[in-house]
Amino acid sequence: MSEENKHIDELFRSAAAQSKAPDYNPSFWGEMEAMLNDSKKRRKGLLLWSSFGGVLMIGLVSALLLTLPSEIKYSQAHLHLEAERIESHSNNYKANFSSTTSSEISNEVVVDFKKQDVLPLEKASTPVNLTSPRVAAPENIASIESKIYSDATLNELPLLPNNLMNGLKSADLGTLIATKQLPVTGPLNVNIELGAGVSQAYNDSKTKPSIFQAMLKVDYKVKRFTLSSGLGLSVEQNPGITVSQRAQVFGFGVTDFEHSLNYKTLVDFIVPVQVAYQFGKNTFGIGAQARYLATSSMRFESKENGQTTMADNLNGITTGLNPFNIDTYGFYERSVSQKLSLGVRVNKQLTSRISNEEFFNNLERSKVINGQVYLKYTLFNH
Amino acid sequence: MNKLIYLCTLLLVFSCEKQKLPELPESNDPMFGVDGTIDGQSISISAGTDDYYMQSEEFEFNNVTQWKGNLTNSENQFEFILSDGIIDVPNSTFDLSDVDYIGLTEVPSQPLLQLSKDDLTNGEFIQSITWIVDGEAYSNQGPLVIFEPGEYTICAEVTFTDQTEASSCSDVILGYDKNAKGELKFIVGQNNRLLAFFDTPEYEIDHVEWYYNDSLISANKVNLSIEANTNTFDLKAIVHYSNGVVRERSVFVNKLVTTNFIQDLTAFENQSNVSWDFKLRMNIAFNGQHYTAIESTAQATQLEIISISQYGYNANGEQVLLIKGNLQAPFYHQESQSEVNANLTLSFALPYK
Repeated sequence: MSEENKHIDELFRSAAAQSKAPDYNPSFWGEMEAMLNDSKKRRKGLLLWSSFGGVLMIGLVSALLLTLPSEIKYSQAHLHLEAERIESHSNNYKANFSSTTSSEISNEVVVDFKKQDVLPLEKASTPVNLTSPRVAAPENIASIESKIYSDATLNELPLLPNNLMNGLKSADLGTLIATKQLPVTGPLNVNIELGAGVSQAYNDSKTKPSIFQAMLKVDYKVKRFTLSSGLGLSVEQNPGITVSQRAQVFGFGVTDFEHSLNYKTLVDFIVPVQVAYQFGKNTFGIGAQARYLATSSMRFESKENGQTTMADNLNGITTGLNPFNIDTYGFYERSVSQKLSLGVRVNKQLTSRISNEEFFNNLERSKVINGQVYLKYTLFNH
Repeated sequence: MNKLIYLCTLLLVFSCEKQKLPELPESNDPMFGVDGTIDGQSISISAGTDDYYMQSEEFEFNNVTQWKGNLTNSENQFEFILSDGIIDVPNSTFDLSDVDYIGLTEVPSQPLLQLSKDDLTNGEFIQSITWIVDGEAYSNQGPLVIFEPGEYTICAEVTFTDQTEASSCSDVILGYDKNAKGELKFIVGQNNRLLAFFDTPEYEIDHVEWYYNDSLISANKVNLSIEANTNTFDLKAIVHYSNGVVRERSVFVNKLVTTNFIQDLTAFENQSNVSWDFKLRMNIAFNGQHYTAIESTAQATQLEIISISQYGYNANGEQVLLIKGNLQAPFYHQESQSEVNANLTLSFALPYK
């Protein structure tokens, strides 16, 4: 348990012993209803937004990245979630926390509420500001009903709006509740991933294929599930792809022409869509990603009747390869810290990179598997 | 920071200079080949298969340009040779693509020129003649005999019966069309007056360059009338006919002993009607058998042209025509010394100018 949590526990214990129940102001619930109605409309917008492709979403998120001020703001979705949480609690527990008792079990705080004390809330006249500290019901105003809140579940305690707090008498505040300045966590995370790994070669050779990947991802959390998409750049080196184009030209004799393209580097834009399940610090998931082959570097060789007539290193040519490809992958992540995760990913191509229309090859594989180790860093939560 | 990442990414992607691949030539079907039958043998060969290669070249044959296409491998050979024509007209051109038929020809079995001292008008005053053909002494005893068409420089080194000697050279065209005829004749009159002229008024002469002992003495007169100031002299006329023909005709004159002269040898170039002007010779070596095309005058046995087109350039940098045609003609089979029939479809290259 962290130092911060110990401090909160202390606060809870003292608050539960000293604080009184705040006065109930029915206008608060009216204000909350207005806020909920507004957030329902925005939820529809979010769903519609989610239905667009990853590229569009990433474009907008990227634009958001560029324009977002540094201070933390609450999104309407967050407001909505918090409001839902408050509403949920209000339906089960009385807001007029009359009498409370608490007991400490080890490092956990026990807070009981009397259901019969729940009163309806009324509409508030002032807007709700949810930047107020997260408030746990004090033991002297909430009746104890043997509900155990661990450190983790503290996060699930209701947030009380500022005006709700303001509605409480100042005299009560001093003795009120234990408060906790919990980190603000929203459903959207913007992450950056940097990965490196090895790949199968399309053709067995002495070259060792490697892959490097950088990606900007946006996670949308729904309970333990996370839906992610983003935009990334993949650099595949020494893939072992050599494609050739040949022509047999008859004239005074016959000349066999061959253009051989030995790709050294492949650079793809990638748009992944993945779903993950979080279990504690561990996250498992699967995904698929669309690749667009943006550019390459290659060794070009031109031969006439087997004799090399020209050889050059060329850039930007994607001849003989399919520009669009689809991959699928599975991954495992483990949180190293609040913002940093370490993961492994195994990627399998679903479509072949090799286009067989004009160029031929003697490659042993048209689809390869690659494995990567990556670091994920959460740029910010929203 | 985010903007910086964006900029770096864009820079990375777009800074990669896109280059173009050199174009690969398009595959095609064989261009040159021979299909058909000869002497009952089926033939189907093409350049680029079974090591067959179409070689083409321009060469001189007895000082006349020839164009050859040779479809060959290590065992077999199909040789096509086209002769130049209108060779007495300098810088003449002939559009081969206009022709519908190309006649076949062969090396004549009869001499194109047969010349001895007795054939000369003053042969009785000549003891012997040494013939020099294109700078080389003709070693055979007896008359000068030439079978192969060409344009020869023939020199006669004459020893007269009075043991005086003289020589004269003429350019003689054999086996090709002569588009203007005319023998240089002369008369040494009184007071050493020399008259020189041509005896074929049907061929209009534009002008004549007259050379007296290799010195130009007249450039615009057709007939020459001068006072000979030496006892012997060479008289040469470069005759420019109105139809473009330019011929050189020479005589040796002895004004003191008028019988000791050497007449214009071009007078003997019309002993044969053979003409190789734009005629095709074919030699085939196939499966150990050798065939030669036979002179054909009938259109039915000539090469019927399907198409003549520009093909490109050969290894020598010469522009090459692709000639396609059908041929139904008799060939001479050397092994059996008999004629055999051939029915061939030909596609061959000639570096025709």
